[in-house]
Amino acid sequence: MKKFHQYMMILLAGVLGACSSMSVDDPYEENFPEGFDANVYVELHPELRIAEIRDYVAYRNEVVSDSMKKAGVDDATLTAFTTNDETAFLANSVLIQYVYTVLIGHSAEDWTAYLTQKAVLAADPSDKTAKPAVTKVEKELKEFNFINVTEDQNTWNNVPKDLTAYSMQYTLYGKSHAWAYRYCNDNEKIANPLVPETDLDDGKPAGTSPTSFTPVTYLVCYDNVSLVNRVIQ
Amino acid sequence: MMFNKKISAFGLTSAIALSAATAFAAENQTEVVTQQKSLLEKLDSLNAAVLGLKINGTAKAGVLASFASSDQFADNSPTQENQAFTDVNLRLTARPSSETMIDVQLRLHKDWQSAYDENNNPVIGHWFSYDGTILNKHVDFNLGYMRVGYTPLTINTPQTEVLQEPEIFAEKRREALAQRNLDTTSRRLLHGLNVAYQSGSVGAVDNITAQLTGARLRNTAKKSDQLFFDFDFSDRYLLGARAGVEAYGAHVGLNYVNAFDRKQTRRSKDLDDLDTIYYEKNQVFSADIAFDSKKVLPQLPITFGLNGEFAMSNWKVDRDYNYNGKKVSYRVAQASDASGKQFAYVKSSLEADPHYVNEEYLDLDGKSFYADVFAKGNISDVDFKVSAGYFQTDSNFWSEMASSPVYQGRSTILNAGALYSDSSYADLILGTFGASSLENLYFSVYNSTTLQAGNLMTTGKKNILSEFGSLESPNLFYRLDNNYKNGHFYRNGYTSNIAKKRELDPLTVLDPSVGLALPLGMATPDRKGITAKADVNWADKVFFNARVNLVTQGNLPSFDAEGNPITIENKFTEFAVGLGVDAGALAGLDRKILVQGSFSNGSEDSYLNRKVNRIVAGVTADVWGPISVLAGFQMYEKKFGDNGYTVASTDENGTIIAAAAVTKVSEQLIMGGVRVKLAPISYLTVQYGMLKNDLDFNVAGLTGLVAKQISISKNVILADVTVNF
Repeated sequence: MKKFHQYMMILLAGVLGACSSMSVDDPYEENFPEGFDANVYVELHPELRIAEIRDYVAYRNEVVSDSMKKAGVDDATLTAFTTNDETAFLANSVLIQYVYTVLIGHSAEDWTAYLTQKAVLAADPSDKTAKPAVTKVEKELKEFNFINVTEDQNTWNNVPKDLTAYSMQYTLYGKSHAWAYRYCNDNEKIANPLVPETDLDDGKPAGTSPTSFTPVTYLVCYDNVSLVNRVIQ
Repeated sequence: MMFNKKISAFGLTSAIALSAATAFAAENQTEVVTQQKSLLEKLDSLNAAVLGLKINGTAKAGVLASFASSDQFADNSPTQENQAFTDVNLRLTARPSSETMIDVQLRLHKDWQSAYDENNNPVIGHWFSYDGTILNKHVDFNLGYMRVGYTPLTINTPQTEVLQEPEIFAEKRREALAQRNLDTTSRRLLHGLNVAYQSGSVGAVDNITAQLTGARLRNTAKKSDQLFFDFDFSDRYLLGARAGVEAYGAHVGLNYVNAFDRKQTRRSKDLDDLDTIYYEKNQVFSADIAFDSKKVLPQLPITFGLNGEFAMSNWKVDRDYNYNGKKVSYRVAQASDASGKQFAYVKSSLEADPHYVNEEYLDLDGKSFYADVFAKGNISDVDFKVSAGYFQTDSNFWSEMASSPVYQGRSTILNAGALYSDSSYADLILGTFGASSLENLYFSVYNSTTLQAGNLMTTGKKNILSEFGSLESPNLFYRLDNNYKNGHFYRNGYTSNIAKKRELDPLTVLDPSVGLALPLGMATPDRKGITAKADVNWADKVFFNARVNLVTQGNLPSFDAEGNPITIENKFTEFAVGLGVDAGALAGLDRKILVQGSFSNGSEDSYLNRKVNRIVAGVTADVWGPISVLAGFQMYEKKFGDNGYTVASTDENGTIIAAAAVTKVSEQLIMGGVRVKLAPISYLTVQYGMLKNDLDFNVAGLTGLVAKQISISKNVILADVTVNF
């Protein structure tokens, strides 16, 4: 009888062990809405990719200049080298047009405006309006120049994509700011309401009017037919 | 003390009674000699049980002069090296009771040449142990130095076997081994605690055995800054355990061995950024079986049986180092899109991330087994034993405690100070691969030298040999005395070191004089094949031995025509035969005239196509009265195929200074001498030896390979008086 009792206890322990789930919860699935795909998310928000490329160029240029300094290149030579490289980059008008309009996503009108201002500046280097306008655009362009590299369009496409960073951006910022995380399906495109005007990001620099910001509590999809954001019901 | 006396009295009376009985029974002189010998041994063993302190030992005074000549020596090279010494080995045994014994062995060595440098010689203690047989002889123990052997795949020492080795050589080899505290058995020299239990007969079971062994092992993981005074203690351990049962002539046993480094032990300094320290852990679990028919079929003239073992090994390496790389880190940053609208995003960046890493590096499992069948017996005065077996070992099998051979060779023993005219090649070849294996097998130099500026490594700049880079220091000759610091030095081809797998010298595995087919014994990884042995002894008059090994290495790393790594098969064929004849015994004389000879051959069919031949001949003869003549000849040749084995030396930047491909090594050793028995177990020995070592190698020339040779001859004269007491 004593043995039987022992065996029963062992059996009980076995049953308990067998029923308890050994699977570990996946934090990725818990934090993200159903169907979240970082690749789709960055496709909907190319500005994330642009920021990533800009940071990558800055980091890589820093590595290049650091290694040149280590090799004994003095500051003046390095500055001259960088300036020459940037001048050559800006002289390649086909490439910088691609960077400005396709990569960064400015409009064709903005590009024409830049070319106009540049022509004005060329005619009169002391023009008070043209100079800051041209400098602003060129400053933006130079952020995409890989020093000591002859760029083509693939150079920027080859910058590695950090899906973790996109995903983190969604949970930290995009979700509460009504950023769409996926395309709407066909039913949603017809039935779902648009994201209320008040919830749309006002585009002000983050933190300038923190009191006016209310995080949204719903999820948003992007309707690629009407080109609007809709609330997922 | 009464007990003592009683034992001695009993010993004497029984010895006299026995000798009287056997003297009458003896039919011929030889038998009486044998009987007397065994009686003396019995007396010795009785004597060994005497309580109190006992001192035994050997005292040896001798000279060794070696005269070297070579066409490759530089004009200014020294050609002669002399050793003259008095060497006293003391063995102190103390028996507090009849069950246990303290054993301390001391060596006093005085080199006559340094007699005035420093007249105080330190005594070197080289063996300390406390041993015993306790609990009604059921438990044997050793504490301190000990020799422990389990099975060929767990704890074992692979030994070099030279069939019919003449006594003149065998004695030299034993002497060289003894200087390193080694012997010719397959047990390992360890330092620790060993306890073995034997039950004796229990019902149907003849014996139940259990053994536990714990030892500290040498550790070099932290020894990369080896300075002269190095107080880092070993942090590598061995734990071994085995148990077995014997019944009806059969034995079944389980063996377990675990050798491991304690993690995070390193030298007595912090981890440098360039350091990576590896910690090895090697576990072997084996089951062995044996059967001998003698117990169950004692009436048969032939007994037969088998020995077998199956082992599983795990070799695991951990390492620690300082990680100096970068890591991806994330932080929130702000940006604006093309329309100027601002947003927050997550910026990834690489940041320096120095931190300490302790990680698993390798984890490999392997299996090995062997099975041998044997038959032995005695038919009309012919004693014989034949055995044959099959074995198979995985590439990943590793049993550290069974793998390191004691003979590793490749040192230059005699005339080590010779200078060569073409020193880059001589240093390279003699330093890596070329030193004579016969010199390493049979010669050793032991020295006790005053430590002074010339040989004391130190960090104090005032003591260094040279000043201003390469100039000889003017202080050199003022510093002959060093406050009675006297060091003992060896030049010896044997080692008691047990190499970890990562430390294993690739040249040891490759040098055929260590072993062609099985350089690491039965535990050599990636081998399978057949071994066969036969030993015949006809009435101690004629001896015959034969050995055959047919071994295949299945996964030898190689490259195909395109340079891609592949594995190939390499087949080894080894055979050896030996014959010894005691002409004295055959002719019915009362003296020994033993003539011996053997031939062995080994080859492989791919890789380097190495081929080896060994021819051995010798005579050991009692000539007249106390005078014996001993002579031996040995020729050893190793070939490394047409392309040879390439060795290269580099400077500190990794640039190759010299490269050479050794194609053939031919060695000869002739020794002869007279041994005169001065008194019981005291001898005067005078010997002459000639060593010849030819090394053929190719070097790259302007128009292709240029064949070169280093040819060294050494004439050696040895004379000594040895007294055993």
